[in-house]
Amino acid sequence: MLQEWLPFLGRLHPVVVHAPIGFVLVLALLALISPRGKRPGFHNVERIVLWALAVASVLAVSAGLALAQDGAYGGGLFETHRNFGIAMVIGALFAVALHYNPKRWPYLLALTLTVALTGAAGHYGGSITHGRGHLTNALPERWQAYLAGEQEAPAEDEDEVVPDEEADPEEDPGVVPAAAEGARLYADLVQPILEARCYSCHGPDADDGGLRLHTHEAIMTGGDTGSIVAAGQPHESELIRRLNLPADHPDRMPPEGRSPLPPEEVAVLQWWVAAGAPEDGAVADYLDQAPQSAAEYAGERIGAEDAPAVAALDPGQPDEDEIADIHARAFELAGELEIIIHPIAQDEPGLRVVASQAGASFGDEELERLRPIQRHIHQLDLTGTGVTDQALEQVGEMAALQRLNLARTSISGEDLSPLLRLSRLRYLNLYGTDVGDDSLGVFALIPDLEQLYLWETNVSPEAADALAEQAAARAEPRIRELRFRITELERELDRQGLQVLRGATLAPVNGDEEAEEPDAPENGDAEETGDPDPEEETIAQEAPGDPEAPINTVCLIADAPVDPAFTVEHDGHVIGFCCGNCQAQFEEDPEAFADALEELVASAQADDGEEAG
Amino acid sequence: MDKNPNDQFLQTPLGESARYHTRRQFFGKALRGVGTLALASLLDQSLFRGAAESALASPHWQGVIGSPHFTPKVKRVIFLYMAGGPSHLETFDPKPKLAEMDGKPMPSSLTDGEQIAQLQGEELICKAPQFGFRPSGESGQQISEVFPYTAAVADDICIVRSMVTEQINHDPAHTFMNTGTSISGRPSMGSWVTYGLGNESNDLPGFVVMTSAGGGQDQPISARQWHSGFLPSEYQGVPFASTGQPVHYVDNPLGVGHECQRDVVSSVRELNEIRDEVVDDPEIASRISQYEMAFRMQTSVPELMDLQGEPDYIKAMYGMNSLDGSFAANCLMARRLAERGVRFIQLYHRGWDHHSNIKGGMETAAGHVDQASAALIMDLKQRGMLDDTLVIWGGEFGRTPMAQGTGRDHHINGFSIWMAGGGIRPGMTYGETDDLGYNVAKDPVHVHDFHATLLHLFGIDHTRLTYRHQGRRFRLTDVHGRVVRDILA
Repeated sequence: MLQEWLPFLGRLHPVVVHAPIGFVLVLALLALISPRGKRPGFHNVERIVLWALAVASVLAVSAGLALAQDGAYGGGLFETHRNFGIAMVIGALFAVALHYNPKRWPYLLALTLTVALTGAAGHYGGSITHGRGHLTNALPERWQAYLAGEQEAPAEDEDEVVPDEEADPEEDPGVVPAAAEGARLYADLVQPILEARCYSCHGPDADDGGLRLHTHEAIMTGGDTGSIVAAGQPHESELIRRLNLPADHPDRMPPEGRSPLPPEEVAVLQWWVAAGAPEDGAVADYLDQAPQSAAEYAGERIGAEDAPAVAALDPGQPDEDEIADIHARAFELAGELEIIIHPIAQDEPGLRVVASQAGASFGDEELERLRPIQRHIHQLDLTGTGVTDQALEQVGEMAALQRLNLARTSISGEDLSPLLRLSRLRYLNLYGTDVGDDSLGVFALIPDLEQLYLWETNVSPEAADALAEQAAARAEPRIRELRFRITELERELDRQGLQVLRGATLAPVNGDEEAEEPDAPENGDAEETGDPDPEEETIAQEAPGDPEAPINTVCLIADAPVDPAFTVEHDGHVIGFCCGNCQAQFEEDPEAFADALEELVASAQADDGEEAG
Repeated sequence: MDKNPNDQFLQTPLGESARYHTRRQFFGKALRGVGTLALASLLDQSLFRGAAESALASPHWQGVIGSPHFTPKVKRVIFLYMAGGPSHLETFDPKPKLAEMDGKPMPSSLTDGEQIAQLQGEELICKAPQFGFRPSGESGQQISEVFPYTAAVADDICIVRSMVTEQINHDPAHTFMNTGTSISGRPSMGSWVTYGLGNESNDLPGFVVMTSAGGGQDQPISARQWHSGFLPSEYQGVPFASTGQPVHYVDNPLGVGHECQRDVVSSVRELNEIRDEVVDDPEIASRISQYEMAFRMQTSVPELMDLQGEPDYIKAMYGMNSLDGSFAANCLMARRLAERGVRFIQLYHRGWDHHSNIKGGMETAAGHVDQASAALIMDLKQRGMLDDTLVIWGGEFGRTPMAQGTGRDHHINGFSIWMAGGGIRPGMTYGETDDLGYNVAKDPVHVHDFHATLLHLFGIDHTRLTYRHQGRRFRLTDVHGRVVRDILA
């Protein structure tokens, strides 16, 4: 019976634990106002509060022990907290007993001790929840150094204290002011983010899911579900995937209730993984691969001394002669290739290249000729030209590119990964190409991408929805807290300026006009999800006809869209899941989901019936 | 007495002329000439630089200002020009108060001393709006029920309810809207834009105009509305016929092949170039480039008109079947022109002059333009083009809150337009008229301000795109114009 309720009691610990703190402070206050306890009425009040303190502290410690009972907590930090907690209870009981003693000083001694013990227990408890150093990290750096220094070697002059890097650089890199020269990508950018955001559950004192993130080795080892970082492949890395999941996805990290990482911090982690997740490596060495938001973050974080390196990244900075040379060269090339190349504006020397007028006669070879100026191309319009997949490698080298239009080209989407290097890319138009669902993972990882056009491609509406959701998830913390229906989501996306457009059907707003527009009733609901023709084709080809396609669009287990990559054939139906975990959960015990499955199959058959009719 | 031989010489015609060419006079005149030249070069640097870069040397896609003054938001404009003056009271500016006042006299405090077109001397009676309004889209913008399709794209458009113009009759008002003045002979905005920024199409003109009609008295539109005025003539709008061959004589005559035609055009070009060396007339350069353009259009126009690649559902979205001269067909053409790099596209729909039967007339006219206007927005959007295209919907003026029988008269103190696309803040309504829709009550947008904003979106500072003519520099906004930054994204 008690055993049953223990976990519940345990969960009350964070609530109950504040009561003794309050009582202790009240007693301390009373003792300060009247040290001798002679003020009228004070003695009685003290007695009441003391008993309340005794009861509350016993409750708090019991709840704490119950919480720790399942073994979720352990380690030095926990033990310290527990011991201080128990000591505090003993101190409190002594204080109660000594209050009955006519002599005042034993009581005051016991009370002082209890106050100190309460403070210590509270501090270590806070460290478990918020992470070690939660308090001290917020101190001015000089004071942090002072505290750190005092432990190692008592300092005479605090200004001269140099933090000892050997002390424990992995555990507390935030204390070390990042050396401006040669700031390290992992130690100075990645680790502080992980420390601030992840350590409380995956750090030196906690290993939820078997995962710790406080050393490079621990990160590369991964957790219970295996490796979390695939060096050089952010879109294959569990760490990055979980950070980018929608707010309400069960796998999302940090979990519900914790603040999500700001986009620039996610960008830094992606940058680091894409760079091969190096343990040692200077920020400067990888800056040219940095997404703009990450580069800016780095600039702020590692200070002004390294700022020139960040500034040098920006091709908008070359001196006037160089710009004039590039422009002259660009102008010549424009004439030779019969395309348009011009500076975007008089105050914006980046180049805009429009080759769409040349049509199919502008192919990979012609693009090759742009090499001398390609670092300065900000906008590239290749709509309807003859470029092929081979061109992507070169396009990926155009580091300054912000707008890329590949619409109506023969780009197959087989390997879009070169585009991942385009960290400044905001606008990507691939309408009318053969790009399919497989490529979508890439888009989610182009950090600054705002507008993506996939109309008339092989991308399925479901996959596009999932991508949109993923993109929304990283857009702004506020949004992650909300639960969306799809329509609300799309509205929100629009507001964010991120448009994933798969095509439009125009239906008048009022019903009575529909009679004039024969298409309207058929497509009444298609306004947001797709244009009439491809939509119908998609349904015809994929949904019931295609044995490979799942019968559901929403994951059987979680309330999240199906990822076509995770399907299971069961009882002659293909069931889709949102992620590998849900799939594994189902495969482990399909019977557990029998009811949900039955419902799903029934509704899918009803849809089929409608389709046929 | 012997005559002085010198005197004798001075009496001959030659001597007479020599009397005017004394040494002093020679130096005096020569100095004045050099001085004038020096002064002129100080005053107008471009006079000498301009001569060095002849129109033939710079590519067609580069205009007179070279690169835009600042980063442009749009590359092209599609102006859906609702000729005749669509009523703001039945489209985008709901006036419940006017409905209450239906049949009552218009307050004379508003109308006294104001310009009146056809209602002069008549009794001024309020007329209730003929259609209901409903909040549309997520933005909840008020759009008349006569525009159900436009309501479907409400979140993409920015409605301006506070337009003001100065001309109360159609032709001068068109001229004002197009050129920024009611005086004929000034360049239209399309000419200014293509003159400033060039034409990005290799084989189509940079400024194309198409017309359609239906829904009201079909007011004629003068070709003056897209004239280049004093700018070189290659920048004038080229009207495409909306039925049959869009450009007259675009096909070669029987028996004339492509090669043969090329020969003719080349020979004409050589002759023109010889003439160009002798006579300094910029129009010769224009003529040469126009011959070349016409020759290229013999290929490009048939391709432009070939709708085989347009799927049926796209045509259905616009509400058109063939290039039948309808506004819907023109909208589809506008998109095709925009895709091919045409910079300024103007579609006139002549059907909005509703002096009588405004209800029926507007239903018809809206039936012609509503679906296609919205389809154009959607189509540009799905192609990723709305992002750098500006779509404008509006006419030369609005209509009176006062009845003219079953219709309304011309009104210039306040009317509505909408804009959508690159650089425009979508889903917002800007400006207000008073309770009766007579005067602008808040945030007026004068036609000059509209022009300044339009040029701004192209990356042009409207005060810096000028052309010297008849002794002074002109610009589209002349000495006026204010960029309406509140509607910019």
